[in-house]
Amino acid sequence: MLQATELTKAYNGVIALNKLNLTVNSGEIFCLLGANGAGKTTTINLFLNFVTPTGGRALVNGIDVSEEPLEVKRHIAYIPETVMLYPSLSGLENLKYFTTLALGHKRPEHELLELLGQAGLAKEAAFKRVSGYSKGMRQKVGIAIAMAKNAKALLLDEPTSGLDPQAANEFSKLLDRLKAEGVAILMATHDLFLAKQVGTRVGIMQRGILVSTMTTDDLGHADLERIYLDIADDCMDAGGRAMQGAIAERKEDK
Amino acid sequence: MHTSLYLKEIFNFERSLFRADRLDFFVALILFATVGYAFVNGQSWIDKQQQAVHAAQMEESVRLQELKDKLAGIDAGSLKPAKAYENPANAYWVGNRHAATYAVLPPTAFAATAIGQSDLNPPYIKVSSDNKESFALNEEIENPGNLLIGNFDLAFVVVFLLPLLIIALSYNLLSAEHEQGTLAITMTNPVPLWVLIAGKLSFRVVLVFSLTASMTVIGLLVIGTDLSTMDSLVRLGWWIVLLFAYIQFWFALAAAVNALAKSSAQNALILTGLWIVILLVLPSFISIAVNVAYPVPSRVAMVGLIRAAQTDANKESDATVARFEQEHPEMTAMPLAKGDDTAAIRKRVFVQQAAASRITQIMARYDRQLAQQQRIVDSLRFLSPAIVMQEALNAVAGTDNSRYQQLSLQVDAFHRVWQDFFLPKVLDNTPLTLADYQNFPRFAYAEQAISETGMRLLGALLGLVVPIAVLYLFSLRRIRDYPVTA
Repeated sequence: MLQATELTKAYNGVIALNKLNLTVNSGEIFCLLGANGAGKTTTINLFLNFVTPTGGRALVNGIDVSEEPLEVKRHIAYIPETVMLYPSLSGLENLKYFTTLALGHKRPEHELLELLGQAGLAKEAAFKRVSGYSKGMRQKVGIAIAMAKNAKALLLDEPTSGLDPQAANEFSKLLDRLKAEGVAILMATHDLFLAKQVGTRVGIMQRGILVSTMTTDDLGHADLERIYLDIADDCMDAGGRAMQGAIAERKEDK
Repeated sequence: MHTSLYLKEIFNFERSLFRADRLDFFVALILFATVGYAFVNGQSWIDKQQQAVHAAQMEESVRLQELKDKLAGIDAGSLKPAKAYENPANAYWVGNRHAATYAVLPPTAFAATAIGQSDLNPPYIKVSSDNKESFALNEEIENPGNLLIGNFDLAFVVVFLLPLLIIALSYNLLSAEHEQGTLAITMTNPVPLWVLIAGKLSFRVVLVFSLTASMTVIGLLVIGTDLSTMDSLVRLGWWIVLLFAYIQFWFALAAAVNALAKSSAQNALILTGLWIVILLVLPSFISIAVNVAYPVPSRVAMVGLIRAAQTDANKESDATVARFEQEHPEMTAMPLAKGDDTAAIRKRVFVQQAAASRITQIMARYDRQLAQQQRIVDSLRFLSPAIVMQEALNAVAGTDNSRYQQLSLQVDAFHRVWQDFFLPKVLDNTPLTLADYQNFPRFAYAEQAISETGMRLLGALLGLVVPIAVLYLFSLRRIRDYPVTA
């Protein structure tokens, strides 16, 4: 469903993504792990056609993203790290608008309310202005927007950021359900435990290169620790010494 | 989903956003206040001018009635013939002074919408059989403060204030979506970016245009404009078309600036700067350029030359009289009664005629220079859509230069008719009768054919449509590379 072939992106001569080869099949959740700047978000942006590839191809359902971006967008849904909505309107009104743009027709209000409920937003909150929402509440509306589209592929960029533990848990269940329904999911995340919990496969990215891919079934606790350290190393190279310190502290505590 | 359906959805969503923030109410309030005040101001100006016209016409009517009563008294023998100067039968003094008539330029139905050149040109000209300079230099003296500030009329609201409102509504058309992050979610849907901009623009264009147009129509009806005549309807039609084009120009400019992918603050600065350039700098630059290229000779110098011409004609009066007597022996052969000042009057007429040709040349030279200036301005005005719009609105209101030039030409022609009526009677010493008083020439302004005005307005419309097309094409090209994410 999602396929990257030699996909490359450079910004002003700096390589952000280097010859990525990746396939995410229907009913699969592929989790991209890596430090900030590793190329996770660039990968997602390339599938969304938000940026143009310097080389290679990104395909969704066999369609080249660069050649037919509008057709591709009929098949994909997206939840960013921080869902931003129109603050002067309610969550329901935002959902109505984006759903109509996605589907080309309006969905009944009761269906939209049900979707918001499934995403974890209380019914009374659905009618309130988004300006009064927390980040987590906005994220839930974002999840509902993505679900409303009934897309074949879902692109997630740190989707649980800002969600409380209960909502994050419900989100995990939702991903399981979508996976069972045959949706191909590509998720960029720092949350290793979420990746282990819901992912079918995990890919590690470092400086724009997909350095490792493994199935979560084969992923033991030791591997998880190694992934942590890989990411921490990458962070340190990028100036992320603080994170390594925190991990080292945690290891000492153990 | 078809593009039109997306446009409709985005249009309706924008309406919801405006309603939620009550922006539509504030836009309506601002337009109601400014358009309303502009109509009050414009109509009070027209009322003031019409009061002056009415007072002049009343004064003329009373003056003529007094002359006729006096003449009837003399004819009946109840009054003795007065001195030549006061004699209502004396064609020279009556034509030159006592019966001098007002040539009035009637306001159009749309005069209150644009004061235009009417604060510099009087709505009436007092015509006598004296030379042209006696009335052609008789211009209105307006408060220089008002001339400096300009008039708060509907044209001012449209040309100057509406762009500010449009800038306020559209400077962050796309940049706000980009900055607040909603663009990313929108663009995950099969909606081209140009459709998003078009939908957002459409709502704003419809809002500003429909409110301004409807308030204009209401304002016209409130001040008592008869909109049932063909002339009014054609003027209203042009006014609406020009308004739509001008609004489109500013929205197109905002779209082009948004397409540059700058921040909202930068967009606001760029658009404000462009407002200053288009509305203040360019008109000033054009004025300076024209004055450098074709400096208008000083009016004071022209008046000096006219006086010198009159003095020269006076000096040559004896030779002029002698030449006339030689050319027209039949007129001068008439015996003059004792105390009759016919000879003196004839001499005045000859001097006047001798001076006339020189004065006409002096004034024609001045007018030619002005015409050259006007031609340059006509060409350079296309540099600024604001000038194009201001002049077009003046033309619709009938307060443009062209209409005053038309008045001037018609008054010139009428002046000759007036002279042709009186001067032969002066030269052959024929006294005026009551029947002559009934037959005094009357001036009636012949309105320019609407097709002539239409051609000028068509040119103005083109001067707006071309930059609109260029700006929208530029926007379409630039938004292809618009960054969806930060």
